[in-house]
Amino acid sequence: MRIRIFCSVFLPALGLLALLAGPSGAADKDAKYFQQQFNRFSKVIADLKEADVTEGAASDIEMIRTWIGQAQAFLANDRIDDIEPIMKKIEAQAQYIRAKINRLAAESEAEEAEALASNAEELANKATKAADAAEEKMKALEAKGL
Amino acid sequence: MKKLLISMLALLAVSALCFCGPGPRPSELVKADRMVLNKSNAALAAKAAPQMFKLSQRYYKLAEEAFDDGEQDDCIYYSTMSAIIFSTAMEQAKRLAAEDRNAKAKQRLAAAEKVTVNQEARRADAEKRAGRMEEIIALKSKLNAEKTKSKRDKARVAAELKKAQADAKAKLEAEQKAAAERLAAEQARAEELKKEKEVQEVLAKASSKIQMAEALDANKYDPANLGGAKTFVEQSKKALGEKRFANALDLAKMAVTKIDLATAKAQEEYKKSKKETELLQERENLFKEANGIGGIEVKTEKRGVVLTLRDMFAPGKALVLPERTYMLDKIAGLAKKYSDYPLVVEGYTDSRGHETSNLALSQSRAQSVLDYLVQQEKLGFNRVKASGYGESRPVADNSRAKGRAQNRRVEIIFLFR
Repeated sequence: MRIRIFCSVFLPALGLLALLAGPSGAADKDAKYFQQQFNRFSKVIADLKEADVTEGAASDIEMIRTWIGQAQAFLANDRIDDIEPIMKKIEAQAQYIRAKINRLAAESEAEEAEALASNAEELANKATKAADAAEEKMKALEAKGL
Repeated sequence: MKKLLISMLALLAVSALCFCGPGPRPSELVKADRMVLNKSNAALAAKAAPQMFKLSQRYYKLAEEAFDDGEQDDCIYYSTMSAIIFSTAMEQAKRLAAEDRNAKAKQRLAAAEKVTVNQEARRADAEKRAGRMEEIIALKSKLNAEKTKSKRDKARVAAELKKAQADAKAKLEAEQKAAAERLAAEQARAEELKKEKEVQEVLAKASSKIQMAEALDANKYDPANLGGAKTFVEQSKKALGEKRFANALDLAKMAVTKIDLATAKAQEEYKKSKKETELLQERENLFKEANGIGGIEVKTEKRGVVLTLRDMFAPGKALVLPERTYMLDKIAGLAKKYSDYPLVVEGYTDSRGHETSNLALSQSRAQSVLDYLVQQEKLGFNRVKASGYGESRPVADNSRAKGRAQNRRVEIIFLFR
């Protein structure tokens, strides 16, 4: 539950702030910073993979990995300015994946709940029919007995 | 506001199409076009995540501007960002929709569970009432069954009573029948015993007669009938042993008949012998009694008992001397007692005198005695006869006085029949 709240509320808010913040000055950031970001993204990928129990976002996660590789290549070629947009895409993609995972989980929960509801409704119908039958039987018995 | 925004976006898109130059729109931008320009999705995204939707719109706008400016990389970048962010908003919208479905499903679940609970309660209540009704019906059924059973028991008892009565009647009839049979058997047995007794009596009678015949003088019995009687007795005993009572009785009766026939002859002989014996005895008695009179001579001849009287008359006279009448009285008594004997009075004289006169005298004297006897005891004339024989039939020598005295006599003869 905590993870779901974290994923659905806290992280999107952070991501949104980051996205709204816009591209910062790439010159202010050195290779160490980017490497830290890459590491962080790797950890994010691991978290997302762990959260993606249905593997419904596997290809989306692979896209991040591709983009990280691309960014690392830019970093290796000192194309620092090209790294920042990729990192923003990664941030957005990660946010999207989390939203997708949350959506999938919500849908799964909804399906479970609907299944439970359907089952309960079926039980209710059965109970209603059983009650109706019992009442019919009761009425018949009353008519017969009285 | 939303409609205005969407209209502006659409206008921007159209302007981008008109002023973007001849180059093709990159696929990222086309993808962003499809997402952003979809009104229903745009509405959903705007509602679910308005800030993200706005950000997506901003990136899309930048992408359009970049495309218009011919900055391909920026266009692709902004298109990608727009699409990602729009997709994220759409995911939010889908998540919200899923959560809404989830919430509704939970409401349905709760409602269904409530319904279930209520219906279960209703069912339980109905079943409880039905159970009570079933108990009532079962009790009624039991009561009816008891009534039916009671009727059945009553019918069974009636049937058993009827059967018992029938059995008792049958038993009584059987007993009566058995008693009747016993009685009939006893009667038959009694009849048999009676017949057996009768046969035995007849047999005893026949046997007794046969034994008597054999003990007395079998020669006097008719041998054929005696032998036949013995044979019939044996056959009768055999038949009796074989319980052929009727046959045994017939045979016994035939034996009796035979022995009776055999006895008849013997009896006839016996009677005849007895009569002779009695006659002889009578004659002997007559002799003895006559001899007891005294003064007379008594002898038995073939013709009868002869009483000879002498000195009954005076010489030449035919009247009985009074002193001699007592003998005649006694002889008259004998004549009366032995009335079956014909009585003959014969007179005899001696040879002295004339024969004729002697004959007449003898006749007179015989008649005189006869008359006296008749007179004394009123003897019947049909049984008496007087005859005179004179000097004939002398019993002694007339030459001598003693002889002549012997010849002068009257003989009273009790004739044998």
